[in-house]
Amino acid sequence: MATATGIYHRTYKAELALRHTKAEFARLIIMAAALVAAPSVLDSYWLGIVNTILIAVIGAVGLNILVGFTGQISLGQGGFLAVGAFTSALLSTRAGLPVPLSLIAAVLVTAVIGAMFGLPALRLKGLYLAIATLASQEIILFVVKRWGFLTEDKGYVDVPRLNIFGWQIERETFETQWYWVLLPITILAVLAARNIFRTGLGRSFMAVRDQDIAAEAIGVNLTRAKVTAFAVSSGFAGLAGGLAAHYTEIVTWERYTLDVSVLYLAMIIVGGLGSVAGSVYGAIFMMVLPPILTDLAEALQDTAPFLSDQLPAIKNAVFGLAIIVFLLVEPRGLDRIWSRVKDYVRFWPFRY
Amino acid sequence: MDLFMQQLVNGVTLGSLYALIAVGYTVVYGIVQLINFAHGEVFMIGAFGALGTWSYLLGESTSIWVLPIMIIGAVAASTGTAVIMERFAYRPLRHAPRLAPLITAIGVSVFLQEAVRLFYPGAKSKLPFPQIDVVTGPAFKLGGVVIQRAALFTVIALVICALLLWLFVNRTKLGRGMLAVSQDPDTARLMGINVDRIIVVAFALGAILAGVAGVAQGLQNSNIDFRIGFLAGLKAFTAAVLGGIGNIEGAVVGGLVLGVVEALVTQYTQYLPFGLSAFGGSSWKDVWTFALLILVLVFRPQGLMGARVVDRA
Repeated sequence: MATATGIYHRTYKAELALRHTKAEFARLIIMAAALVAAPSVLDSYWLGIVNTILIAVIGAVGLNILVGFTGQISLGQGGFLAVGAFTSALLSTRAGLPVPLSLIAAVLVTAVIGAMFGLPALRLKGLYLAIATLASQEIILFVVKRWGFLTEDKGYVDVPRLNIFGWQIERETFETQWYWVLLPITILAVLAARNIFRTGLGRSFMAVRDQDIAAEAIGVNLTRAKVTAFAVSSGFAGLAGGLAAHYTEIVTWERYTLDVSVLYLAMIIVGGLGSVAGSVYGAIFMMVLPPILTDLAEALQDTAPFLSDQLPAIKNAVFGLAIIVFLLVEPRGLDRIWSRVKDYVRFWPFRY
Repeated sequence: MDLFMQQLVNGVTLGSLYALIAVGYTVVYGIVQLINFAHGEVFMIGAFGALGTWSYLLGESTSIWVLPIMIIGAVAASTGTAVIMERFAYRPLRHAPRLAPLITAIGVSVFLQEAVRLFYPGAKSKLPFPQIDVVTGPAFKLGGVVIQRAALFTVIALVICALLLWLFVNRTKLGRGMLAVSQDPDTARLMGINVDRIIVVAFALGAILAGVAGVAQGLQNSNIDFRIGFLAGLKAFTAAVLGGIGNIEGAVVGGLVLGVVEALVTQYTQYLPFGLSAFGGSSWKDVWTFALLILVLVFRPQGLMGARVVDRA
């Protein structure tokens, strides 16, 4: 029950619900309507951007499980995406596995590799862990770059257009069809992430983040929590990487450099560390910013022609600026801003 | 045996280069507990500074007297970059969450790479580095071991720099101030030490050595491009961790050890059994280096020499 003084639960069942207030249900309905309407409203350029957002959301949620909820800084997201992309692409092209199965395989393989590279987390924290994950990112990138077996010495893997048991993606309706493939997967992934943190395992992740020694004292198995966090997070990354491989229909190592790891880290910082919804906001923010900047530069072409020449540099600058501003001004990101707005509305006209 | 000695010489050469860069990481970490990721780029800018000095100020001369001026040019460029970087990228973030400076450093590193690529004429591809007759002339032969003159230059540069650095840190007022700040910045401030100035000095010191390393790299490889900083920086960071980050002697030792290990790994992984040799040789040496970095971080985070500050949090 929502009142001006807060939200009160009268039954255990009510407390366990994912949505507590009428406003939240209304928001859910509006969101669902928007998502259903999206393909008919947006043109294929913007629908393409929505599709990349949907993939990015999965990756960002995965990284947030590790960084935001378990407190293990990782600069290795790009590498894990690469593992997922290569696994799914190779299994579906060369081993002839149907795409759904190759995606599941990608999730599992990436989870195992992620858990392996997560082992340093058992002894390292903070910056040192960041460096160790950076090293694992570079190792993975080197392997996919130099190991001729993976790309048959071509340097890239061609992925055929998606075809699930005879259901073929057509060229004219490419983005719309992909939208309907990606949307349910992304929703499931987000819901799964949301629900992990209602289980004992998810609570143990948060206990590790808040105070690892205290967590150990109350019986959390640190080894298990950290390694599972790496595995779960990498599993999400593997799914995102695999989907991206089939969506873009090509896999090259250039898409998985350190920049990508930083971009994902930026998403969850801007969105809000330790919040599933925040990772969604962050992914949207980071993926919508570049096309908006491009549009802006085009609109200002006449008054400031130099803008479009320096567009890549400006994009990078805006990215960097956004990250720094968020870290300094609102370290808990867009999610916190959103909840402050909600509080303001709920408590109005009272100040406190 | 000759092969082994040759790899040892190669390793020490490579290691000297790593050591020169690694000092920059370690000095800055010891003072502000910041991993200055952009330090590799400072090294790269040093190399470009030397090249720029040579082609625009010295009229592309190849006699020996241009070398000192090139070194001065390199050091000026790298130190300038490092000081500006400290002032505008790191100082505002000194009390921010520790993730902030790390990400900023990565951003600065990308920024510097792009800046060089955009604004240095012709830097989009590899640029030939000047060949100075005395330092790049015919190699010395000692038994069956070939010693390049540029390699000798690198090692001598390391020895001189290390000696001067040791004198500076232990024998001057500013150097002792650095030691004090690295032990306890707050108390150091109470004792009247200007902590801000010490931090700038730490960045500058690292940059001076990185500038010298830039010249050495250029002379050894006879060409440079804007990407050399990232990998060299990561390797040098590995060296700093290997030696115990925060410990200046450790950085030098770590650099040399890493260089030698890398040379030997390159040589001897070709003979691995079970088809593993496909992952040996020079193209895979970086993977082995990073695996070594992870192992050292996990099993001996204080490094070979023991860090002055053991801080894993």
